[in-house]
Amino acid sequence: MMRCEECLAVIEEFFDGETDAQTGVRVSTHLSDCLGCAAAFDTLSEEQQLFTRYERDVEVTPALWQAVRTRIADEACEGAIASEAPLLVSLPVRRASLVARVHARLTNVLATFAPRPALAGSLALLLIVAFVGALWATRLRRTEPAAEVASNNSDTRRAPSSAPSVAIAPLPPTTKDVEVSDQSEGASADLHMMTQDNSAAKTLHTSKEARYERGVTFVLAGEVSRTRAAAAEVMSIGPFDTSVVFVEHGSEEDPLASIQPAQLDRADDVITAKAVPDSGEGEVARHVERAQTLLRSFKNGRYGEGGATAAAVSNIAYEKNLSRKLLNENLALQIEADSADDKSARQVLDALEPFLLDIANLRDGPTREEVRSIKERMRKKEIIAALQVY
Amino acid sequence: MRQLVAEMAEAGAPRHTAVLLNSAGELVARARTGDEDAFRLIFERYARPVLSFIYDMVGERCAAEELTQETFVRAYRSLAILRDETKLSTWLFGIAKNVAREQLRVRTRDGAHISADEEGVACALRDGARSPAGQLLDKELNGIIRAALLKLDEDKRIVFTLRVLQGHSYEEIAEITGFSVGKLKTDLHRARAEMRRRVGHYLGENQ
Repeated sequence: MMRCEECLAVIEEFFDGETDAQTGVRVSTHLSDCLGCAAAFDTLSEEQQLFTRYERDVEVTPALWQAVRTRIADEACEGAIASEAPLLVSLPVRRASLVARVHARLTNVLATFAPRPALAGSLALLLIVAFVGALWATRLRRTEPAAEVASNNSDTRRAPSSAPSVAIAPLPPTTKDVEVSDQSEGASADLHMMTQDNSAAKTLHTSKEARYERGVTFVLAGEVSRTRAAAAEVMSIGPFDTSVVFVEHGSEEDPLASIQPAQLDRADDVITAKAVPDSGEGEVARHVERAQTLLRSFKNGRYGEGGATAAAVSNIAYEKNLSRKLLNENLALQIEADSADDKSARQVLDALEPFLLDIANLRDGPTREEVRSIKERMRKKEIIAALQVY
Repeated sequence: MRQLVAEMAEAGAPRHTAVLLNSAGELVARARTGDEDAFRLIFERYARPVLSFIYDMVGERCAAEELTQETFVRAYRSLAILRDETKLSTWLFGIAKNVAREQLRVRTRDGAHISADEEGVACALRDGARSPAGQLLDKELNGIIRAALLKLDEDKRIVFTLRVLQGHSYEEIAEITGFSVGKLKTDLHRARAEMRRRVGHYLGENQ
């Protein structure tokens, strides 16, 4: 027999139809016998009726749809959402818009140099030097074996070179340290993660473009995933203070990799190649989904309550390992998002990073307070909701 | 089904027929390819509940309309990354919630504050002055409920609106808000108690 306290504790859930069948039957039976609880149930019913009568002073008008449509079309023409979704404007309009934008930018650039002959002269000189340098580099490369480039660093990794490979010139050692300190422990557990900044990714991109001009098989649609793969390779190498050699393979998974450069001569083809849905956004989405699962699991886990028992350590070890993996992935995707100028992806990855770092740096037997502080920050930042919406 | 569609077409409801014939998944798939009609159908299907929800959150018609626009524009931009098309509704409400919250934060930062009581009562009186006597109570009640809603804190207002006014399940609310079911039950219970305190005296009068 259900008591009144039990009944009142679940009466709203029962009213909302959210109790399980067994509880529902018990509440229902109790309500038929108890006037007090039945009155509470009636109050809920009356309130619901009252709120059902609530009418808002709003109406969906055709003008609202027109406003949405116009905004989408405007943004499409500005190219703001070109990379995020198909457009509600026709292809000719988009092309015309693109041509207009390129024309406007060129005009602006030329206008900048018009009143400054000295600046224009300096730029011309720089261009000539760059051209001569590129020519010299091209000649030098022709004399080297096409498949391999010797490395002068013992830390350098090379992927197996079964497929025709192209070596990318050693990248400048532009690295940054990501330092993580566990302040709550008092002891400083620093995790040095060497990663490349955007300039490295851009260099990689530029190198590929240069090789494309020389006739090496590359297509634009493969750029994003390759950059990501390359960036991931950089991070897996670990600390590097000297040059690193990337070895690129003819990708089997990229169906466009076999397209010959001759097929990409026309601008239209390039546009088509780029329009092939790449997995860039999908990768971010999958990453975000995995991170969301991890954070939910962490949020619901009861760590630090049983001390450093074997089970608790084992549980947190799993979360930590997964967090580290996701952290590596996160860094790679951040670089990719920068190079693709994908601000929304960059934003969500930035928001996610501190939580992955926090979990990755937890001790094996974290205290309840350490876990609670992370959970509290997750709650305040609404990180799970942010990931979900993304 | 065909008969139903034929009957509806005869009744002059072609637009609703189209809505019936398109699942959320199909509409999303079509909208992703740039099909304007598909996105318009999504808009028509969800605009009203989204607009109502935002209005309950921000309490101003103009702001609610602008934020509804923003919600659907953002949804369009992000259609490509919607993973489970069957959850289009909760996904849209999630965006709407974020958009409304951003607006509320801007207001808080700028020092603008909706005076719920003043606005609610003013609205009730204004509407009441134009209304026939028989509608006065309902109009006044709308103003009072709206004012009471705006006095709830954000989390409680979201949960109360989604459950009591929009009829979403706990699971859906958890998906939209990212709250745990425990938290939303607590918030909902407190929100109901607060609302009861503010509009309770209408319970007897409006039977």
